[in-house]
Amino acid sequence: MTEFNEAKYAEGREVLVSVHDVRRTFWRGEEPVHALDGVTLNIYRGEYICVMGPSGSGKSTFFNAVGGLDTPTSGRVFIDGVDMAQLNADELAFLRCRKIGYVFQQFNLNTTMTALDNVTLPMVFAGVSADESRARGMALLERVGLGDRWNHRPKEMSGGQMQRVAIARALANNPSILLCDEPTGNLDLKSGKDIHLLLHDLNKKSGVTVICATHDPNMLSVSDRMVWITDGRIARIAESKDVEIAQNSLGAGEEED
Amino acid sequence: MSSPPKTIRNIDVRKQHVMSFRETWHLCIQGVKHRLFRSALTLAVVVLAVAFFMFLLSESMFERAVARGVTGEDAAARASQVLLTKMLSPASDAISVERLAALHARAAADGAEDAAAEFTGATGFAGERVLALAARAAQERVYAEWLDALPVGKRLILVGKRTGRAAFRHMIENREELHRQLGIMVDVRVPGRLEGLDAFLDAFPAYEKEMAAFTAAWNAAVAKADEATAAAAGAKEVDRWVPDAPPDAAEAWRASLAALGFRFGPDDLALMRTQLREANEYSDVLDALNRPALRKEWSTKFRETKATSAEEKMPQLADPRAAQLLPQFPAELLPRIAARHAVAARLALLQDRLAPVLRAKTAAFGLTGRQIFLLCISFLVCMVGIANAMLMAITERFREIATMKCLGATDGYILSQFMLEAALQGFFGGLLGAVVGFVIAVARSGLAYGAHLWRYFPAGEVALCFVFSLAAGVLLSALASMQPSWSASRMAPMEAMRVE
Ligand SMILES: Nc1ncnc2c1ncn2[C@@H]1O[C@H](COP(=O)(O)OP(=O)(O)O)[C@@H](O)[C@H]1O
Ligand SMILES: [Mg+2]
Repeated sequence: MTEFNEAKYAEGREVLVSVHDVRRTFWRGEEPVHALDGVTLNIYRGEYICVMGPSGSGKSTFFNAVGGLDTPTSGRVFIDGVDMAQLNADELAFLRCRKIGYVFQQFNLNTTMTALDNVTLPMVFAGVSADESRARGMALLERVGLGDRWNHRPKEMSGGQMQRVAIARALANNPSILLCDEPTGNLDLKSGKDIHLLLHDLNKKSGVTVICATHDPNMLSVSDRMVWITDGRIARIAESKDVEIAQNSLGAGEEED
Repeated sequence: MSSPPKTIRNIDVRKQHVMSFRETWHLCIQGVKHRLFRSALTLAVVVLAVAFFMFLLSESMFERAVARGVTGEDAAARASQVLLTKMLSPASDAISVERLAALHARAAADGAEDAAAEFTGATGFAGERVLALAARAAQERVYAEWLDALPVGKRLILVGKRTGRAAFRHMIENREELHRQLGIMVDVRVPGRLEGLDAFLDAFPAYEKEMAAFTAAWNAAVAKADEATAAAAGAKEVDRWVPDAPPDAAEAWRASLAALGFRFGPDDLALMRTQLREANEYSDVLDALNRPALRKEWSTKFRETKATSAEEKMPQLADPRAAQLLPQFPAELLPRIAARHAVAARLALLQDRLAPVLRAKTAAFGLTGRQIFLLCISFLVCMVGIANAMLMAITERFREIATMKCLGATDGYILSQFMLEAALQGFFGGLLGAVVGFVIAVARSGLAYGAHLWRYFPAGEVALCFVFSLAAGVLLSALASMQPSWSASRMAPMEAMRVE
């Protein structure tokens, strides 16, 4: 196993997200729970990074801190050089709307809306005209392979299809970051694989930076870099090409149980 | 490991786009279409609350409308008697004061000239003269009532044991003393202040003379009318003669009275003839029923009932057995009298029951304090109910709210969407509730008042109640959802997302 060399990795890359000594403490009664316990990490533009770790290790907390969905107890998060803590509620909304796309484990689609309406919702929030958002929404649905399903509602779609709609929605305003919190957690193996491939494809073809929290080892094959979190700390960072062999054994181990 | 960037670039993070009302409305409607029936609980609470509100409001409107209606209903029937009495019996000063004070009140409400005309003809007093006198008469009544209402001790000090005009004359003669005493009695409030009383007392002697002249003029006209009536009716009593007289004789009599200056038109005559006829028929039957011989026969014929007074026997006149006992009356008359009696009895009953409604002190919108209290309580209950339902509805949708915030919805948008939704629910719930409350009120009042409800149906007021209830529904829902919407809109997305 080769040690991860940050300086070498950073060469020729531009920092997009910078997480600096972020801590997040929850209180379970009197007892503190350190969901994030001093996480420092640079994420580079155009990178596909996987945040791995067992359940309860702090992946979602990390996701929330990076996505501006929660305020860390201490530490700072910069996105594109902007300190998230300096933004007011409106500016945060602006940032969430245009800079970051979110993909959730439970899809979180609006069940009363059609696929197209779901995809165009962020454009409506951004003030894009109806005609333009419709055209862009259709293009995005086609991009994720659901061009013929634009008029379907979530309950008429499979989990994999719903997650594709969610990805199309996350891409609505051309964000530079796609934040995914266990996007395949609710999907069967086959659909999960399709989602990985789609995310990989988007990352490679459109250059969107993908940050993906997961404990699904299948994700490893598509990512550039992996970060392991345990108990709110970064346990290990590695480039995927360095863990190819380990991943295979890990994958085999996963399939056994 | 890395350090934070040294230079903080100021990339374009601007204020988020502010959603226009149209955009908000559009999104909101999209959701509401699907949720309207799912949020049945909230809707049901709104319906219930508004129904209760509308029910209370319309029922009290109905009650007042019917009360007002039935009080005036037999006024026309009494009018002919009043007219006859007025034209044919001499008046005293006291009666003149009474009539002129009433005229003054009416003149304030309707056209003054027209109201004065009923006196100008017979007395020869010009319109303004009558009105001026009427204004003074109204004043006299005000001051007489004021004196009556004073505590006995104070009255004794001011006017001794004198009453009526003697009291006024005493006050005029002892003006200095009156001023002194009223100066001492700080808690006595004089209508129109002391200046008003002084002005009235100054004008009193002239006014008294004028009033006497008015009464004399009126009585002279009445004496002539009496003569004309005696000539026309001969020895017959006038209220017996009027309905039975040949039409041209009655018309001639009417014309002669009108010529004397009494406002007595052909329509009045026609009305008087039918009303007097009915009154005569009624009193004839009543007399017959009161004859001792008949009372005995009646109780053997109608063994099954224990009707003792003539009044109680009225409904039985519809029975064929009554016709056998009262052969002197045409057969079709008796059922007619029974029917008329039933209508009058029902009217009297309603008048009796509803009289307190008109007398009750109303605080606002024709509602009594008690009713307003009830309305306030119902409002509060609605508020709590709707607020609770809204809280549940919004808690249910935390995940949706969090997702929308992730997609770029501002706090303000979330707040306005939820309040708009609540207002829409309030509108539809209010619509339904107002109909339900109205139907219940109509059903209940219909049972209580029957045809009288339709006769005096306050359509305009009901429309107003409708608007009120609708507005109450919308406002209540919007207000009740304000707090939950506000706190939901301010929540960090992560907070809301955690709620599974
Ligand atoms: N809002 C919260 N209140 C209390 N504890 C929390 C909260 N959110 C997360 N935690 C705790 O923080 C730890 C990390 O949680 P999370 O980031 O959701 O883990 P993961 O996503 O990796 O499964 C867990 O122990 C969890 O119980
Ligand atoms: Mg998680």
